[in-house]
Amino acid sequence: MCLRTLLMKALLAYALTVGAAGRPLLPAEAATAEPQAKSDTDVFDEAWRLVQNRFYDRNLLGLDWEAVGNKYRGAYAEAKTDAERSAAINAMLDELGVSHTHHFIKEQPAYYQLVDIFSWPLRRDIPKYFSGGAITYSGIGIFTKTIDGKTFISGVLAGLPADTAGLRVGDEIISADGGAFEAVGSFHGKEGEAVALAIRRDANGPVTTIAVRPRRIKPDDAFESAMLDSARIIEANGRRIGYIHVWSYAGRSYQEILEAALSDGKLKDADALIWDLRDGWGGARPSFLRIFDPHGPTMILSERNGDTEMVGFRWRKPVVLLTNNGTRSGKEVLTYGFKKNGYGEVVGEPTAGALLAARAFLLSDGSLLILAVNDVTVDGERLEGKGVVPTIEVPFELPYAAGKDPQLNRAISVLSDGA
Amino acid sequence: MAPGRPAPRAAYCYEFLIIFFPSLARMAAILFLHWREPQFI
Repeated sequence: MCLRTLLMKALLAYALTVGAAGRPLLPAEAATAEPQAKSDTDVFDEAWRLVQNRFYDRNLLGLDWEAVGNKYRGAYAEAKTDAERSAAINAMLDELGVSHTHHFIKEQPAYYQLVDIFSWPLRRDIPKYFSGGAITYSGIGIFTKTIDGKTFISGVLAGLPADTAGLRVGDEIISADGGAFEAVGSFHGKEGEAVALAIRRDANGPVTTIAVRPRRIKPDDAFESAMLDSARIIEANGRRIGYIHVWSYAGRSYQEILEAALSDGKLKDADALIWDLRDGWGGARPSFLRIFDPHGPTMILSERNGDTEMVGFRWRKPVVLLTNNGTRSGKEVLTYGFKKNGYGEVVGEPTAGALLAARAFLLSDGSLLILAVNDVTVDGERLEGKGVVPTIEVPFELPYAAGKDPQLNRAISVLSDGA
Repeated sequence: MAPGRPAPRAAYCYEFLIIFFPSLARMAAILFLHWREPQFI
C-alpha cells in the first residue's frame, strides 16, 4: 500500500471519528444524555445540572444555584402540562437574566427552528425524537408575539401559506377553526386543509376570517425560500432599490443566497440595497460583513465550459441595514460592524442585546434546552444586555400595523432622496 | 497568531491537506464548521 493511500485512510478515519463522536461529553453531561425515568422532576434536574456544569460563568453570576433549583422544582412537579413544566424551567433559567438560556417544547415553532439550526451537534439524539430524522412541523410561516394577552403576527415569511393567504404583520389572531390559536397545535395534522383563522386587522375593526392551508415546514428550507422570495426591487424617485430579508443567518447558505441575488439574481440591477435583519435568528459570522467592504477584490473564475464562479463578491453601492428588537446575536455583530465601519445608515429600533454563544441540549423528554456556554465581547465591548442603537431610530407599533412598515419606508427614503 | 508563537499542529496539518488533498481539506473545513457547536443564534 502506498504512503498516500495510507495517509488518506488515516485522515479519513480521523475525520469520521471526529464527525461521529464530536467533542467528548463531560461525565455530568453524559449522565444527562441518555433517557432516564427516575422521578417526576428528572427533566427539570437535567436542565438544572446542565446549567450548573456548562453555563459560561462557573460562579453562575453569584446565584445560589441549589436554592434557585429548590425554588422552582416544586412548581415543575405540580405542573399538569408540558407548557406549565416548561414555564417552571424557564422561571428557573430567567433567574440568570441572560439571553441564549431558554427551554423550548414541541408546541413552539422555535423548538423546530432551533433543533434544525443545531441539527449537526444534535444528530445523535434527533432520531430518538423525530421519526426518520426529519425536523418538520405543521405551520403557515409566521412569527407571533403576545402583547397584553393578545397574539399578533410579528413576521410573515414570503411565499409561505400565511403570505399567500394575505395575512399581514400586525394582525391579531383571535382563533383558529373556532378554537384557541396555538402556533403548532392549530395546524397539526391539517396539512393542505383550509384552517379558518379569525383575525382583527384594525383595533376597532371587525373580526374577519382568512382561510390558510398549513404545510410541513422544514425550518432551514423555509428560511431560505422566504429569503429568496423576499428579494424584490422597489422603485422610488427613479431609483431601483433592492430589498432582501434575512430571517435566519445560521449558515453560510444564507450569505450565498444574498451574494447570488446581488450578483446574478433579482437584485443584480439594483441601485441600492435594503438589508433587512429584523427578527428571526442570528447565527451570522462576522466575515459575512466583508460583502460591504468596498476595498476587497472580486474575482471571477471561468471554466472552459463557460461556467463562471464569483469569489469575494462586494456590494459597492449604497446600503441601509434594518434592525429591530428581534435583531439578535450574530446579526448584532453584523450591525455593530456595519455601523462602526460606516457602510450605511442603520434604520429601525435598537437590537436585542442578546449576544452570547449557545449550545443546544435535547433533554430526555425531547424538549430543548438552549444554554449560553460562552460570554462574548465584540472589539472589547460586551453587547449582551445593551444591543446596538441604530443611526436613524424609527419606532414600530406592531398591534394592528396592517402590513404598514414605517422602518422600511424610512430606509427607502434614505436611499431614494437622502431623507 | 502572536509573533514568535509556534503555529498549532492543527494549522500545519490543515496546510498539508490543502496542498496535497484539497478536496479532503474542503471536507475537513465543512466538518469543522459544523462541529463548532456554540452558535450566536
